[in-house]
Amino acid sequence: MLFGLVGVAIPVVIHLFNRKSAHSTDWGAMQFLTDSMASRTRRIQLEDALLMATRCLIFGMIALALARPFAPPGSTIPYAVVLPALLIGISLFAVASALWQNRKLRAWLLFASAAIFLLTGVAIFYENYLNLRRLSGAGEQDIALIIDASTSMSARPDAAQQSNFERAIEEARDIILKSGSHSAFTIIAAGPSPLVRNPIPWTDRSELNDLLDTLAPSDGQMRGYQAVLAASHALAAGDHEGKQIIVITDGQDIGWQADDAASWEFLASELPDRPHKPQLLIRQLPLPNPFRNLAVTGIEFSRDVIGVDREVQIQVTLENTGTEAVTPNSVQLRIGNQTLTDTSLGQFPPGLENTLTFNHHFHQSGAQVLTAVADLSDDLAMDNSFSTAIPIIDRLGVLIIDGNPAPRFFARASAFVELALAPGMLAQQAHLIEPTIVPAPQIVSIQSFEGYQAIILADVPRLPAPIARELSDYVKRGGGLLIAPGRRAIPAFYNSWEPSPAQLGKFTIVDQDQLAPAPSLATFTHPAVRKVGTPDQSDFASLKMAAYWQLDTTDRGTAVAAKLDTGQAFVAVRTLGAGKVIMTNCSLDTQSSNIASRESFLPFVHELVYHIADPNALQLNLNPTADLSLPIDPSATSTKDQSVDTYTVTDPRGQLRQAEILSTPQGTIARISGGTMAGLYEIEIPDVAREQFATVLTSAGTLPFTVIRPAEESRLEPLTRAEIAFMSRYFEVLQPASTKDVHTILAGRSYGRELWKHLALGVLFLLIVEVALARWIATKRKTGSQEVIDFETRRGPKKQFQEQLKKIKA
Amino acid sequence: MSRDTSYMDLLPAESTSILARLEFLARGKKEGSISGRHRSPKKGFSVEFAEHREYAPGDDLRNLDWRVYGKSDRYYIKQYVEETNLRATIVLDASGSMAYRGEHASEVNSRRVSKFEQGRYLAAALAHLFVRQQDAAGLVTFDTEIRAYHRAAAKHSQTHQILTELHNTNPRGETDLAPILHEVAERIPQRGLVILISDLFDSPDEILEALHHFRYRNHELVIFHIMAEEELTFPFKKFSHFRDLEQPKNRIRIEPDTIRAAYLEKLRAFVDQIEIGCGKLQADYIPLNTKLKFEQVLSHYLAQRK
Repeated sequence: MLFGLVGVAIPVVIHLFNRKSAHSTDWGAMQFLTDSMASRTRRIQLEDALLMATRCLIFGMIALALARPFAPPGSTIPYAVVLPALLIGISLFAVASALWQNRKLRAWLLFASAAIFLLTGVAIFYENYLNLRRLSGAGEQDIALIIDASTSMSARPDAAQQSNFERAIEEARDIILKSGSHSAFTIIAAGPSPLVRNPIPWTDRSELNDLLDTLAPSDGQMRGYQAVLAASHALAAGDHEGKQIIVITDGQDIGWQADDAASWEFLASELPDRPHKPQLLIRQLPLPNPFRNLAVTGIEFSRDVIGVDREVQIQVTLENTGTEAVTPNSVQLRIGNQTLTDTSLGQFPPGLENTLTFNHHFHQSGAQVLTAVADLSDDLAMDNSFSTAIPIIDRLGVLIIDGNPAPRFFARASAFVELALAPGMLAQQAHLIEPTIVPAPQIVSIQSFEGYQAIILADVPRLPAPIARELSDYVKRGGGLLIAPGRRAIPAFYNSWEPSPAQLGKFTIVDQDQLAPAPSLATFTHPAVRKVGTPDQSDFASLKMAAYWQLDTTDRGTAVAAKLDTGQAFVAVRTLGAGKVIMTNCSLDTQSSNIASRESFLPFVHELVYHIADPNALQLNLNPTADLSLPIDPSATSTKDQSVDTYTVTDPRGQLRQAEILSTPQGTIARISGGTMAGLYEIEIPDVAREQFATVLTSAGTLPFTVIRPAEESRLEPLTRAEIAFMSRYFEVLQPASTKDVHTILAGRSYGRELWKHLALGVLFLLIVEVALARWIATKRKTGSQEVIDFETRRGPKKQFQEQLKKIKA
Repeated sequence: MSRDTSYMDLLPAESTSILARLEFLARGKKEGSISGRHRSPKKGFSVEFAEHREYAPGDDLRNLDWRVYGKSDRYYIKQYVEETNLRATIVLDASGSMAYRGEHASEVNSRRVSKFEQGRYLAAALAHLFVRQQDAAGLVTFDTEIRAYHRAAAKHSQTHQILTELHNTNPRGETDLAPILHEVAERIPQRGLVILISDLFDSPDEILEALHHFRYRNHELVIFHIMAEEELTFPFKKFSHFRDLEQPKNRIRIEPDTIRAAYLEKLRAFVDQIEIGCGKLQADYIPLNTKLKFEQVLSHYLAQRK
């Protein structure tokens, strides 16, 4: 492109040619010439130099403009160094040729000009070298093509014919078609988890096209960070040295984790960096604007543990994430075969979030799927529905071992706990929790702890060694244990028993006249006790300790869940194997404190039991992770990962997939391949395994779970400059405005802001300057040059005389 | 024996008809040894009365003015103006710069003349003129130094000598006009007519000083200032390469337009200074543009002199 710069030589060549073809004159009046020269040379040279510089610059800038240079956003070298240097070099060259006669100056100027051109060349070369380093193999490279398959990509910006996703596919095809034939592509559909369609980059265009045909928009957010991470792994498998990552997205900021420096540092270290790191090309498609959208963003329940015993409130959250007001016809909540409908909805102005409440009594235990659907037509149909899966339990077996089986009911150590767990017991009502009381002395009669979700040791002095061992194993398998040691507890036993969360220290009995310690509500931070720590709902602040143990919680991986206002531990929580153990610092009866008379006692006991029994241990509503794996049985652990079985899964699109059942040290998990999308999955559990998952199976014998679609996905918040700048710290991030830019970058050419218009304007300006300068100089030179020296006419023969003379001659 | 008469080309036929009618009269008094048509500062034999002087013993009684004695009883001697011949020395500049031959120069013998040739024709014509009117004519040619010096003589062969000398002279070398003029002024006997034919390309101050030297020696000065039309108008348009006629190594490459104004300004100052300087010295200053025929200029000048 720079060959055009040879054009710069045109005025110089003309100038020099003019001089070479100089008409030679033998001259006598040299002294005047020399004198005139002496007085004018400087000025003449200055004028000539100016004129020549202007002319050369005109030609140079025309040449540059014709070469259509770009100012790439990634580098300042081309326009901050190369362009000015070229222009300066041209000017120096022009001045040098204008001052050709001044040998010394000429040599210096030519030298300077040559040096600048050389430096420019070096800069260009360096820039090219950078480009080449990026794109070694001249366009032969491995390219990861990440296509945003998030929910929002199905929107059609500005009522276009195509959705953004369709447009992205089209652009992807274009990029593949027009790139170097040896470039290999990996296609990644980026939904909540990146789906690498071909883990080894391909060059076969038809296969790539076929692959693109199979892509469909997913549901949920694009996790850009994960997609780039997956891309980097795929690129590492490619053969070419040049690596590029192209993301075609609508540019939402969700999923990029553009504030998580540690993750991005990790990503940068994971990228193939030989011979150089790939660039990250973020091709942003326009977000729809105006945007008309109502999204169902969540389903919540009034209780954590839902049984078949009574009604539960179900709250459905709707949000207008668009820019225009919308009015849904109705909102339906589908529970199994039942449909609850709310038609009482009004208009949703932009930004409004509203929660609808439905009441429902579940009659059947097992997993239930709830789907809320807003009935309206808007720009983003996918987020008009939201599913959640919830296990409904019919019974929670709790075994209470009573260390003080007194004849009087309320003197027993288990009495208030039993009442708290089953308040309906007195009224003969059915209740979710079924407490079973076993006095401590009869403990050996217990055949098995299986069948109970939780065991409570109520002021039990000690356990016989076999029982203690068995209980310990029970906990490790996933059972729950609540230890409430009172004055009868023998520290020597508990301090050496494995499941015990804390060492029992000093037993403190508070005197009547002493100030009794109370729990400090501010310290109720653990999930097990958080609900009873809310100051306006809890009356535990008025709890007065009468006798309590000092709990030493060091060394056992124990968390202090709540503290007394003296700073001593009130509730300690630990996990052992798959199970959980909670220890309070006092017995839960009237002897140690007034806790049983507090209103918060009942929820307190419930919360502790729910926590250790963990009825929702199977988390059925997942946030997306890199690979979709659902823990289905935490209790069944193995020392190393091994594949146990393969189940069939129906994914949110209704397609069948395989779930690999893996036994791991963390329990059994179901790993589902083929990318994650938001929505409902159902694992078909074969008959033989149904017993194992009985509590989380639907009536159809499937294990349902959902992947959550975050509300942010519907809000269309674009990537900010700051976020791009953040990514630029780890990557060279480019934002091509079109596929043409993408090609330019892939071809290794500079791209970006076109400069030719500025150059053309510069040429125009210089032309004007040239004309003005030439005119000015001509005028200056003309002044006085028309002068006629009155020489011979003054004293010479007049015409008359000459005529007379002729007559004489004749 | 064939005699080379090519020097006679210096008196072209077309000009001799005009030259034949001309005569050169000196102004002021000239010293000479032969009686001629010019007044001499010495009193002597002549028909023209000069003045009376009181008789002193020893005076020739033949010169006693008896008529005055008859009227006044006093003895007066009649004194007569002695008529002498003119000693004219033609000083011709033969330096390199005189070789310039412009496009506009007039033609003699169908050939455009250089400045030197113009001067040479003029010198020849003048020499011819002086000898013909029985005056003494001499010739000095110089370039870097005096090249030839022919003392003024009135003999007939003088024309031949001068013409031959002129014929054999070609312009060359560098002028350092002023010092040479000083030297010439010293060498020419006093009270003569000095005719300087030159382009006067030197520092005008120094030239004028040298001319002053001539005046100091009581010479009458006539200066023919030869310039070519091109030198006066600097009409060049194209980028040119000016080679010094005096020092061929000295060259200037220049766009003529760029310095025309400055050149003309300098030249005008030069011509003006020379002319004014000559006026002060009471020297005759005759500008001679080579585009004009020399005989025209000469005859016009001589006509004015009368």
